[in-house]
Amino acid sequence: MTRLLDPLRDEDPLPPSRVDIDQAVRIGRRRVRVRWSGAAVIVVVVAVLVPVLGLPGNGGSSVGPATQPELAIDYPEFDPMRRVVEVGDVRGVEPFSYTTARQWQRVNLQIGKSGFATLTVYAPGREATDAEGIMQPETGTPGQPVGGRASYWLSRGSNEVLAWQWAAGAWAFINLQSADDGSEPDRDTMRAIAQAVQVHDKAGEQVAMPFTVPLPAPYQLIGTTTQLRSAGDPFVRTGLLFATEDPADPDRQYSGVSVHVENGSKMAMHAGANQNVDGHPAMVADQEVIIFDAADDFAVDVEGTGEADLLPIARGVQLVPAPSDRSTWVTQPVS
Amino acid sequence: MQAALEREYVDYVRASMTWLRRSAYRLCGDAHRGDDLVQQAITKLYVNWRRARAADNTDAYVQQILVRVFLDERRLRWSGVSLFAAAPEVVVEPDWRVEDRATLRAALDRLPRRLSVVLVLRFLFDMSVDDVATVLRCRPGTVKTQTARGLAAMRRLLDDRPLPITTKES
Repeated sequence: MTRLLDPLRDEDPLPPSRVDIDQAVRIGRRRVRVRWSGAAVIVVVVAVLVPVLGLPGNGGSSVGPATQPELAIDYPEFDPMRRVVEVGDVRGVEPFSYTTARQWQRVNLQIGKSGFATLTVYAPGREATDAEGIMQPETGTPGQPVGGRASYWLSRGSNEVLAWQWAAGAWAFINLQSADDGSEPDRDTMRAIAQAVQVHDKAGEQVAMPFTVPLPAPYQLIGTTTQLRSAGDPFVRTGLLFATEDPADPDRQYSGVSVHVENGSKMAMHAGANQNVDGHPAMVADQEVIIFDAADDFAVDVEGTGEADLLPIARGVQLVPAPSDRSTWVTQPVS
Repeated sequence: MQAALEREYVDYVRASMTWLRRSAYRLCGDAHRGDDLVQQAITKLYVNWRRARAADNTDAYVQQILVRVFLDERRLRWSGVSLFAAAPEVVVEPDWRVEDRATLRAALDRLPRRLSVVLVLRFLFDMSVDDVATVLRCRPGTVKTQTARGLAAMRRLLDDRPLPITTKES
């Protein structure tokens, strides 16, 4: 058996590293500080809550009327069933996946053979965050305007980020990881991508799916994901994302369920099949259910974080009669 | 952390980055996801650096952190759903060793995570039963049982989808 696993020892070159030691140090420092400040935090919370709640310590006084909350500004949101971001032609740059959500939309881009960039476009008024916290573009180094609007270069960890306003009060960010040789990120490429970005926030491309699925309680539809391919490529992996809260931060972890369908060689292998579901081979595990050969070489792939019963969700997926024919896909996939 | 200790940590992580990334890749089979694991592991390492540097074998201590991060990776990463749940299909020239790896990797990925980790540690990290037991905080007998179960499951999966070339033991 050890010989059997030998092919996995092959030392294929890994892509450029995305590991950020500076970020580990910064977050590590914060965690160490939190450890030591934990007791102080408890003291402060008690000191604040006791008088507010009128508990002993406040002389038994009654609680006064609640302060009126500030009126929330009604910022527009994106439609998760529309892709509003379009990246025009840039030499050597190919979009390879698209994620929609209400407060932001994200396109992942392949740069040349080994580079990788993330383009995140936020709806107006939305605060951008990354692993380090809130991003404040104006604190960066001013760059040349993009589309006539201000742009800034930000240093985030070991990466350089280009931020610009695609509309008043609405920010977009490009994070490029191009090489593992210590060279500077290619600012020209980042600027070229930024110049090629168009945001169709009032319209956009309608997202269609080759399936329908009942809304899995207690969740709501929060977004879609699609792996992009050149015209004529038959590969499909596309799906819907459900959660109880709308993700404000694309890099945070959310508890929820994803429902994807996929064709291609991986699904054709039926790897891990351990059950038969409605006459189809299936892989049923705590956090993922795959029903293979559901129709037309497509598999149904449902992933979750453990709170939801995934098998009924997967069984509820109805593929369109000819999922390989994109003209038959539906624009209202949640039934 | 004192500045000197922090420098020591950074130097160690820099020097260890290649094997850390390779280890993470072998654990999860996806380079980008592997980097996410390394990122989490070295952050935990920062917090526990004093203990790690005092350990008899710092590398083993760090490897243990990496494996624990992999095993504890439970929650769905929002932006990872589309990116890393399935690696993009890539059209490649026929290469049987690549096919071998894809088949084996897919089979490993379909095992319960604990079993796949045991097999990776035993047969790709070349760790002894006792060392695996230490990393996984279980008894050596459990490692032996899980190794047997993992191998049996791999055999079943690969019997259904034989490898394109004969690397399987006869």
